[in-house]
Amino acid sequence: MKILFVYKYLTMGGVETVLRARLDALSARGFLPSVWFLSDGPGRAIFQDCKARVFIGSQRKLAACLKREQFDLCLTLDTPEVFQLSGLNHLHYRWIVEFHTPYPAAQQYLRELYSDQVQAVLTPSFFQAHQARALLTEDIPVCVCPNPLRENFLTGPVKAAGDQKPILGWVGRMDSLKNWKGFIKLAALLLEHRKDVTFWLIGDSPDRSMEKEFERFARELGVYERICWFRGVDHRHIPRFLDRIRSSGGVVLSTSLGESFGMTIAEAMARCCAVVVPDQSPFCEFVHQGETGFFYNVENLSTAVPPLLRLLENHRLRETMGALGRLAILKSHHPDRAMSVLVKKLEEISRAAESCVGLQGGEAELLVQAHYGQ
Amino acid sequence: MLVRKLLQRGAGRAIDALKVIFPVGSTGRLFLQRTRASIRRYVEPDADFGRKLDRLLPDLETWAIGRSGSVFLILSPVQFREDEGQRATNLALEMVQRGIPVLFIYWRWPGEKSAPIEGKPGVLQIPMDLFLRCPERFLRSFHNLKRYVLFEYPHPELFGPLALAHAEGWITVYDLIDDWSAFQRVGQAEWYDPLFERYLVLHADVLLAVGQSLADRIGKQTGRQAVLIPNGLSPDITRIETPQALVRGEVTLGYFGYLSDAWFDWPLILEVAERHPGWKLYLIGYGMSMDPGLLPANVIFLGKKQRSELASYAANWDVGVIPFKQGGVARGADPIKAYEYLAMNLPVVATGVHPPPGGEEYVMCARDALEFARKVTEAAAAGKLQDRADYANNCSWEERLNLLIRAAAESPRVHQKSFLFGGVR
Repeated sequence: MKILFVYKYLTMGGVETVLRARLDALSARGFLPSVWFLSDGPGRAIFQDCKARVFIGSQRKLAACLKREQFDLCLTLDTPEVFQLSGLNHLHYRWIVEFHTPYPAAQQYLRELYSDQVQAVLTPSFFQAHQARALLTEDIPVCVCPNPLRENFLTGPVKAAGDQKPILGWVGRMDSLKNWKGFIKLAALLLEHRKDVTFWLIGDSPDRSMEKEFERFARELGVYERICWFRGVDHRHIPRFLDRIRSSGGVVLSTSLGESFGMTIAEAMARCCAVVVPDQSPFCEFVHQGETGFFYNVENLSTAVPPLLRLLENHRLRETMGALGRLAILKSHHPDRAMSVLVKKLEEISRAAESCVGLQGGEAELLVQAHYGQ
Repeated sequence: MLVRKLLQRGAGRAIDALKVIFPVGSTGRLFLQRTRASIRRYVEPDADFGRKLDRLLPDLETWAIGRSGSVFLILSPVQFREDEGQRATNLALEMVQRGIPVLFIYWRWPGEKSAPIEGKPGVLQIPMDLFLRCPERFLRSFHNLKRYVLFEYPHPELFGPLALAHAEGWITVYDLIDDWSAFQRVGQAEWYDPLFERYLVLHADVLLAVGQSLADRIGKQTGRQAVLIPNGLSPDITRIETPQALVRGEVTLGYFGYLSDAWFDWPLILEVAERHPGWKLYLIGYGMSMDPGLLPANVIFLGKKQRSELASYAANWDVGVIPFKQGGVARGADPIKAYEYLAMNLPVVATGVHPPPGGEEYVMCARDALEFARKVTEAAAAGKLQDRADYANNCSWEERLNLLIRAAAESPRVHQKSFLFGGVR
């Protein structure tokens, strides 16, 4: 089965890493996968040893490729540009849309998808599936395929020596949705109770003005010198950063106001870090209150302080929670499992599409939904 | 700038018109192309900067791989000028000597002429404004080398690059060379932001200080102990290439270096000159605001001289002097000239500054003009002492760089960084 994944960017980001893992895993299972990027970038390095299956080119070139090659399945990752490709109508390509973006403005393209263009929408969480259903205006099946943890998070956590001041870590993109300012505010709140905590902000933003805003905001709250900023850490190094946070007696915190899955927290759990997260979906799907992490109300940041203090003061609780968190997240998001689910879904979609020939709209949808048990 | 733009536009139109006459491939057309490129280089001197870097950065990495396996990025308030002998320049020279390439990022005032990117082999000079446009270009390079970034001043614009350096695994070193707050108080270093300096002190992997008073001050303010690495000596500073004969006085005094009003104590010098008309005082340097014509007859301003010429002038002196104003600026400094005078076997009399660490017995300190003059007389009578020169010769930049690299190797934060970035090659 020939499969094509299409994505806008070729950065060193998480999507590219997932695509790389998929190329390997799908090839090993007898599929013929390829990836098409609409723009070039530093992510080439990720695909160094599988260049033959990676293409970079404009929409026009992609359209030409689709005309030339006959792919059995075409998947797009939040790249609605594929629906603007011209001259493909007679080829009857129907896309599988992987819907991962948590940004409301970027989600709107779902409203304009038609069932004759799209076979199914795949999401990384039930919460995101719910979002998709709310946006879709036509009957298009929505399925959940768990995000795979990357291989370098799977090895046993490593103990780091060093300064034993506890580190409160925050990992993510520095924008308003991920709410980095919430982390700064929480740092100020926590310092009222514990003076010995160090704060690590691991993240970046393409917006350079954020640099000044960060300085200004942290100074205003009196926590400037307490926050160590790591601007744009290569994802390959994140496991060691998380190991260091855990070894320091620290905790990983999310202040995010919107996630499609919550990968940074899943990764922290994979490295046995105790986590404190907003009490909202999709975190509730893989963090269990008091067992693998603590929840708080992100609208009222002070509610994060008691669980943070509790974790910072209780070594045994942190260790237990970290160990249970790793077990739980590996069970649900180990790459083998995630890949098996993806393969199963792709096969189901392919079969459903074949068996639905001649069926119209609603009937086909019912059949596909019956397949998925949704 | 407007004039330059207009020139470019006008010349561009003229060249376009001449293209009709000269066909593609003709000598005339080639001449037109070269003329246009020259005008562009004049109007936008940094236009081909990025293209140059594409070639130079990989070359520099290759150069280091075959030699030291390390690279230094130095953020310096001054250009790399071998004739001025600043600490950053001297350290860079010593690094290159060891096969460690240097990205020398220097402050450039608006309108100031840039240094050529390529000068000395192993050193690339980049103006700070161009570096700040895209620090990623530099800090996300050299992955095959051990990477150090040396902050020679705490400019607040370096907040972002510091965060980037941390994220990329560079060993960050803050070298406390001056009391910048004191500079600001005397109307210099307007950019100085004490909060950012404190941030840098607290977050750099390695903290160095040029003198004990600076280390003590910062230790008191932040609780962080700095490793003391004083200034040093270039081995060739004592070499006399062409002897220079100067008219000598009853006592002949000399000074070389920057003559800024911010720290050079002109009133003291003028008072000493007036009280001792038989003495002669030679001044070599730059940055003097006073009109040399207004100086007393026994104070002779020789202007700026090449570093290679200094020893030939100093050979005529009995005493080297460092007449700095009392206050924070001088108190925080560790004048390189002190080492240089001593290496030239001159006794030293100073005001405002501390003697270099370990060199207390060779530098006489005074508080006012009377005491200064008395100590000059004592020092001149002491004559040449070999252990004075021996002391200075042990303070080499080679030894200082050894100390710097050792301080980094012993820093717990550097060990932590090795852990963070050690999992992946």
